[in-house]
Amino acid sequence: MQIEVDTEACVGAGQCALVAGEVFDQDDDGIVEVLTHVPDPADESAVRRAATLCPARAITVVEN
Amino acid sequence: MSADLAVGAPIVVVGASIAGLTVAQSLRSEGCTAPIHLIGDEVHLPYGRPPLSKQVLAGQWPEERALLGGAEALAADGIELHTGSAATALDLAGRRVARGGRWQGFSELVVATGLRARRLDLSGGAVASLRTLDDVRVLRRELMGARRVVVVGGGVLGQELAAVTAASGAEVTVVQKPPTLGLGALGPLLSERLLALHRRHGVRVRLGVGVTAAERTPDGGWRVALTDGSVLEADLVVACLGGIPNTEWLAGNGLDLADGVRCDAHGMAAPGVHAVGDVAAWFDPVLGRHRRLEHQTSAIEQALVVARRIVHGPRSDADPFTPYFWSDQYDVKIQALGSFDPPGEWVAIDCPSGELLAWHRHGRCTGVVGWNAGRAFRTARSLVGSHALVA
Repeated sequence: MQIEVDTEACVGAGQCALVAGEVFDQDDDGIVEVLTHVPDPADESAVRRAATLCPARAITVVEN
Repeated sequence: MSADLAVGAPIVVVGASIAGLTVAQSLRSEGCTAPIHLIGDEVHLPYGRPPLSKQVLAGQWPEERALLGGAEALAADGIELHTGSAATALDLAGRRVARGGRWQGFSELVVATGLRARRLDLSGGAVASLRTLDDVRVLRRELMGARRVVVVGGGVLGQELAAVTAASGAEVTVVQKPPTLGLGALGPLLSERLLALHRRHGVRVRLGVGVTAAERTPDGGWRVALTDGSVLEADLVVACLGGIPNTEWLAGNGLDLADGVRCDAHGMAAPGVHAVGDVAAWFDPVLGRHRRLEHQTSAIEQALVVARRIVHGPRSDADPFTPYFWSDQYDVKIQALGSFDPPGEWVAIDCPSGELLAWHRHGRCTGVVGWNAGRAFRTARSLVGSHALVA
């Protein structure tokens, strides 16, 4: 799995950081920061949830 | 007309905006292999509404950026998308919906038909609204060269429209009938601050005033008469007066449609019939009453609950999700998490930049507002009483 984020689309809701805190964080403005673009397999399901919950659909998950 | 047999009939999702789309996609990610039909009355591929009143209206984003993933992704998921196709009736006993002159049977029905803009009926003719992609196309065209704009309705949408329009250099007047600006339940609580923000950017706000009549002028403009006797001249008038739930097509089946589709705490309106998004009034166990939310995040979270319920059956534990919404106006990002029922009081929370305000009721924080709070808004989640996301 690989993660891509659209920081311009991000609205700073923080759902991603809440459900997948090992993978997503927020910068000082609240915009998404990806901690690892290739997450640990244990975090993959949380990443998919984060992508779905994102109100701006700013997270793209590429399944390999 | 022929009807599909109920056995092996598809799951039918009526409404192809964020709520309907999320249900359809979540059904697949939850392991559902049944046929899924996603029905949308608009001709466009599914798109998100929040960018329409912000980046798309302002011309910062092309329309395509508001799309929620294309036809290919849906086809890959085995979701049959029907656009430009409205469901016109429900036969609950027969477990079928009418569409395009045909009845279609369903095994499960998800209602996600959202709202339509409340129209402003004036003798002068049609007033523009802002709900759909088509509305935004019309508005973008009409805004070019519009020097004076009147926005009727000072809720979130009206304010965002005013902000975008003012940035383009037009002279904007917001006409709001209630005595305060609106921002859902936050309107009365943040009104002073919002008023100051708009006035600082040169937008005129008329509170406690409504529109009585309007007429077109020979040059294609408007003369708008207000309840206080004054008259506004404008090149463009836009109505942002909220939305009306699209539930007429469900009539005659015994569903409670007084304010959207009334559902239990998990989105069920009747056996095998669920509702999500702007059209759905879910029972909120924390508040102890039904409530219809018009937030993107609630639509998504409700969709996840319903998809799980359809695939895995009812859950005994209701995980309440805390409503979140945001609004971008000028250079301010307003974020809100939780509930803001009165009576209560604001408590300021330390915040490195911007502001964080907690709403306290009976000594408990029920909601938090961030005003350009940035990353610090995350602390809001731990402050609000019920903060569990859908598991």
